[in-house]
Amino acid sequence: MRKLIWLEWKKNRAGRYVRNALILAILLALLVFGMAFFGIADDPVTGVPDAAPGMLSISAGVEFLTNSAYFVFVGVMLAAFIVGAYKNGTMALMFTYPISRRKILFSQLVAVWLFNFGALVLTKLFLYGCLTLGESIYRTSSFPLDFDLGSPWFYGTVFLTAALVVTVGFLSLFAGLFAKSSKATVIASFLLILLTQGSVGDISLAGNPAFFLGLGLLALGLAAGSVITAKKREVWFPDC
Amino acid sequence: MTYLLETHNLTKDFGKHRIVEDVSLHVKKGEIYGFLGPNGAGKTTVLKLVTGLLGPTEGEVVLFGKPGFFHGLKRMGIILEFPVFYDRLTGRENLELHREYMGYYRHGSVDEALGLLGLLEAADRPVKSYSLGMKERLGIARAVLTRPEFLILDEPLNGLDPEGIHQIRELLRGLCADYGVTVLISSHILSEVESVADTVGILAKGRLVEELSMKELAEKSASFIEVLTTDEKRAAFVLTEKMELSRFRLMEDGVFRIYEKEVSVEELAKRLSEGGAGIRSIGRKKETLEEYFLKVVGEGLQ
Repeated sequence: MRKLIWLEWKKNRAGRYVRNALILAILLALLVFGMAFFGIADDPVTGVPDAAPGMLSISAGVEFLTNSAYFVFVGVMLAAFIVGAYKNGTMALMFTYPISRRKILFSQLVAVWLFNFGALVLTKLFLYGCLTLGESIYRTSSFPLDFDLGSPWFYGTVFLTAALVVTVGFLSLFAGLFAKSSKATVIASFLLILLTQGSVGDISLAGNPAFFLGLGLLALGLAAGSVITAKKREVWFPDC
Repeated sequence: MTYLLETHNLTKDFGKHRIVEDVSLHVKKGEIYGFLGPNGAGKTTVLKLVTGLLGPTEGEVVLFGKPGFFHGLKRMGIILEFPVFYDRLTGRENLELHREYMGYYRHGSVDEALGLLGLLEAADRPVKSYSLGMKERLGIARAVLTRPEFLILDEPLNGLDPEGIHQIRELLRGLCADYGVTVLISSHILSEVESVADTVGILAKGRLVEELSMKELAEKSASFIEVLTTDEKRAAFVLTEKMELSRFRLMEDGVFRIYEKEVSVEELAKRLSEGGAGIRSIGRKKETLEEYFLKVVGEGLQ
């Protein structure tokens, strides 16, 4: 299985995704750094942060930005690794190898999951690290820095959130497979942002752990179903 | 008789449409089997059923003497429809990847396969920069890389120039003769495979209308008398009414072909002259394999 995962990264040129994840982490760090220490989110008249309800601390901003960005990142990778493979015929090629289809699909899912989980955890830690460094330099922040890098609870939360976000992000895969479209996969990932991070008036599901957990379980269920039924499934081709 | 591949009444429906019906192929070990049929006859669907990319509605596949397909994949080299690659990777990287997935680690096998197909110079270029012909050759290089016992090649000569076609034919002959590789090669043009195939199966409208050895095919392609007359109507009258023949055909250019074996050229010439149909030319000829193929396909389509 380890070899199959490695081959998935190799053939999809995972190096490109590492580079993109690095660029993304730097851009997000600049943004939250600016919000915290250069007042870019402050109201020009009142001078206080112009933040939406529930986004009054810096960790809320970091979580919102990283989670949203990685819903899209997961969607893009799934579109390339799995939906694209069906569309360009390389999945059919894979199914002519003497490897169980379940293993092939499972390795593809795990390859995307592991990459994004690792990248999201590192991005979050990088952002929180930058904020901690900024605090030691600038002393004051527009947003309260409500995290503690020394606390095990902090790391537990980062790992758990990252795992859940990446898992929920897999819902976009099933939308893409259903529509047989890479674009649909990416569009679905944007819809996931709206669903999980957005608000209508005062109503928002962003802070609802039960809802998030439900979505995660749904994604896991669909992934398991997809792997289990892989043996019997026929391969659809671009001309179908 | 040892068959490397047998299909028993293979049938495939897509929704309400029956695409393949009752196809029973028999591919002998060590032979080159030409799988022929016009475009849209269902050849690729049959090959997808054989390799498990599609599941049959009815019937079964027996590969290497066992029902099913999965156990045979490690011993096979497959190209279906058009060869697909990871376009951003180089030709060499694609073959190395294939080797990893097939679990085949013989040192130098990648270079050997690339060299065999004349692709060593282009090996380190991304596949997206390859021409169609180069991709076809790379597909064949990938299929033969692991020295399979059974090669399934779906229209592998598409996009190749005459030199490339000749090269692939020689390669297939060599693999068959030197290594005992069995080859199933599909094509919609008989002439592409007639010089290499030992057996042909002819598919028309999803049905296998003929499966026979090239020797049988050569014998079956009937001989006939070809006659060009000065008066078509009078000649037709003589053939049907005076000689009571039914197995003849009037070709587009006004030439009659008479397939009755009992009739000699001399007798026919005499009877036509007596009937008032002048003869411009007459002689016994043999149907080409291509004509026979087209005839069989035509009958299958009807």
